[in-house]
Amino acid sequence: MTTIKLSNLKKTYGKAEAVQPLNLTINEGELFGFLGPNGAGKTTTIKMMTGLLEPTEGTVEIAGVDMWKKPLKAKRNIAYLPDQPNLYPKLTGWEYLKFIASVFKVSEETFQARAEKYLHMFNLTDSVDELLESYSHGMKQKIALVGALVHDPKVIFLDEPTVGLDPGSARKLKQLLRNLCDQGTTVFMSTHILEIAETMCDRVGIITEGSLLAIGTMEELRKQGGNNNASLEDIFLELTGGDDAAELIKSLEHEGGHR
Amino acid sequence: MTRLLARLYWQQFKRTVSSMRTGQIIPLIAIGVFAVILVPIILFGGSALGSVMPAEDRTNFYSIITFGGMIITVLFTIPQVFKNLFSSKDVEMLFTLPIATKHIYWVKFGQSFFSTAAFVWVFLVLFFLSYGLGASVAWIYFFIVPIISLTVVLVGLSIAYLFNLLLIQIIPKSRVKELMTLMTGMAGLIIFLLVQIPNLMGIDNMVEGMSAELPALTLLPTHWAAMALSFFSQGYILRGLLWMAAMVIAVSIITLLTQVVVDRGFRTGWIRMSEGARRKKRKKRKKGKFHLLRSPVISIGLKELRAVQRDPREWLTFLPVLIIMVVPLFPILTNEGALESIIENTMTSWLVAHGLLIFFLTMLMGNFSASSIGREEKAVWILRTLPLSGMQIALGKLWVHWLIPLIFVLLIEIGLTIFIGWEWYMGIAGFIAFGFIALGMSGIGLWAGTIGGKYNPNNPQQRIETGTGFLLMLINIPYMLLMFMVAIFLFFPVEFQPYISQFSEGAFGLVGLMASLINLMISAKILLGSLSLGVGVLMLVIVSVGVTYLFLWLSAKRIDQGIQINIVDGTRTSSKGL
Repeated sequence: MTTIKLSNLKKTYGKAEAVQPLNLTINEGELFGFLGPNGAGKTTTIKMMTGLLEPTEGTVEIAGVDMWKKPLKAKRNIAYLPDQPNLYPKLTGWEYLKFIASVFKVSEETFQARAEKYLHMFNLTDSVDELLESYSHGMKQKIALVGALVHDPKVIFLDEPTVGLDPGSARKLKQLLRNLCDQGTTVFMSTHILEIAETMCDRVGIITEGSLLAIGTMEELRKQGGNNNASLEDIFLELTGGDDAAELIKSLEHEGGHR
Repeated sequence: MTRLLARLYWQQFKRTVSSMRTGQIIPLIAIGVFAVILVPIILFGGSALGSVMPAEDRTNFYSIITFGGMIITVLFTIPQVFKNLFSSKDVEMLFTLPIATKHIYWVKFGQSFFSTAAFVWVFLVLFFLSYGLGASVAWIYFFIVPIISLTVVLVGLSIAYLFNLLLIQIIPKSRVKELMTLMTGMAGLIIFLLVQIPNLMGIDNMVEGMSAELPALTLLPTHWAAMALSFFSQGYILRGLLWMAAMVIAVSIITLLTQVVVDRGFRTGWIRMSEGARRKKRKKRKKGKFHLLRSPVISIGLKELRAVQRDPREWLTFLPVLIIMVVPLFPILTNEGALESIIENTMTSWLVAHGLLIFFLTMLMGNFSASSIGREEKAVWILRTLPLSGMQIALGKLWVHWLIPLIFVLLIEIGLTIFIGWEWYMGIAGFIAFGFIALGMSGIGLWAGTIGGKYNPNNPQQRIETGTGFLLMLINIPYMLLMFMVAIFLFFPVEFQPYISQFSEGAFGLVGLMASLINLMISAKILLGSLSLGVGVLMLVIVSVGVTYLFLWLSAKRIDQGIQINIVDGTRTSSKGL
């Protein structure tokens, strides 16, 4: 069953095309990795999908609901974790979670159980009564993630979720996302870390200069590139960095091998 | 090295000025216009004082002015110095370079002088020169004034540096930034109070006051500057030079003292600031107890309430109104006759007190609710991605920004009712009327916030664009006038009608128009007789709720469409949508 459907989704700023018409469908329980170099249009696409940025053209459907025609209904199904988790500095972690749960009208018992489960998972139990302004970047990211999970969304959008997380938390996040997807939650994640995309994602999309260059499972991408042994890094560099970058890396690897 | 850094700062300043956008230039033009207006006042005032003041009072006068100049320098430069030393983005880079702390420090000192203290110096020089001209003092005085004024300002600036370097060691770092913003706001008010001291103490004649002994001031180095000025104005060059030398030594000692603490205060202070705030535990939740989840509208309001409650900078909004209301009380409280008259004429005192209360507080209400949009700052994505309608967000913000000042008014109302001895129903009537009038103001303010929301990390209390602030004022005025008429209809005693009628016949222009309208309302009240109370209450409710609903609807529409918060980040400006 399709959970996310993008049809001719486009964003322009004046004459510049930040995202060229994009068509994409993501199924229920799928973990989708969205890759691309800096400024490729990843965040712009996610912002259009989460109701933060109005598309110039095209539609975004979340669980069959148009995000820009019925925003409230569509937003009830999603959670978003931005790359910079700017939260309310004068709320405590617990108050922030309570606020999110109130908006989604989560029952008190469910909220309590879920919040405590995820707080424990990310080692936040002891700091949940502190003001968010005193949290480190990683802690903010984790509490925002708990806030995203507390209402059990159908779709989770994550923009560079592992940036700022300690290795332990990053690993827990990876496991958690995989488990959530196995239980039917859909995850749309942008990342720079190719290893995460390669090992975790069901499918990967590679975008550069606002255009989706390739999409598929790792197997499909290798087939498209005509090299069955290629890593995602090889495929990514070949598609986004051009031949020069790929050759440069190969020559460096070659030199390294001679030393 | 200091010269190299100074050149770098100068280049940066030139480029900042040349790349300024129109919106950034407008406040500078406003400051320029203000300065142009202020200069003739200083020149005329100084000259007039110089011509009337007896020669024997000059030393004390100089002492007060130099002391005042120093205090103004301290107050205005403390937040500026803090910003330069501890919040400036270049410090991190400078500390990683092989540059001695003292070189960075001296360039920062120069920056503070030219950005703030130099203005005080110029005004001080202008004042003393015009005073000297008015008093026809000796010629040498005019050559010495710039130097002595400079020493006064340098003492003030050095104190500001010392204060900052020591403060950073004492105050909890989570509170330092908030304290600085509070001080910026307080500076103007403290100066206002300093100017008001003679009035508060019942000294009506400023010149007379000069004859009084000022023992406390004579102990300060600013008094040495005053002594030097006094001797130079009489033509005693040698004695003047001696006092001036004392002042120069004082400046040197204080700046040397800052030099001593600079290494510890500046570098370690900056590190302390950069470490981030200490984690402060809030009240621990009781384990095993469920925590009531509320409706989204209530939750939004509570979120706003906590932001206001936990940040002292937010309280600053109420401070000017409180001071403006409290200051006139001093002469009243010290005058037995005035106090008796207020207590005897309860109706008149009730009308005057509520007129003032409504005028001051309702002007504040608009700004207070307008600030709620800018308060979202970079966390604006949260509300935008949550399933909340514009109306829910607007209502959530409105109720709390209406209720907080209302509680403030309730306390004032209870205090005044007890103190003046009004009947209890008078207090309740005033409170209800205020509640309705304030509701409309809050609605208008909220809408203003949605069209011109702003967030500046360096001035977090300024949350609306300057132009929007003016627009808010322009919309508030007709609303206030409308509500004023309704209040006149409701509360003005009909016995006064003959006086108002007589006055309106003789008056013309805006005053005449107002008097005619008041007369019309009172005449209508007389005509309606016993029905007037019901009609008045209905008018109050309809106008207030109608205006509130209209602006609430407009705000909700704007929020649904996606509003922009202008996030001022140094010289760059970025926007985030809500």
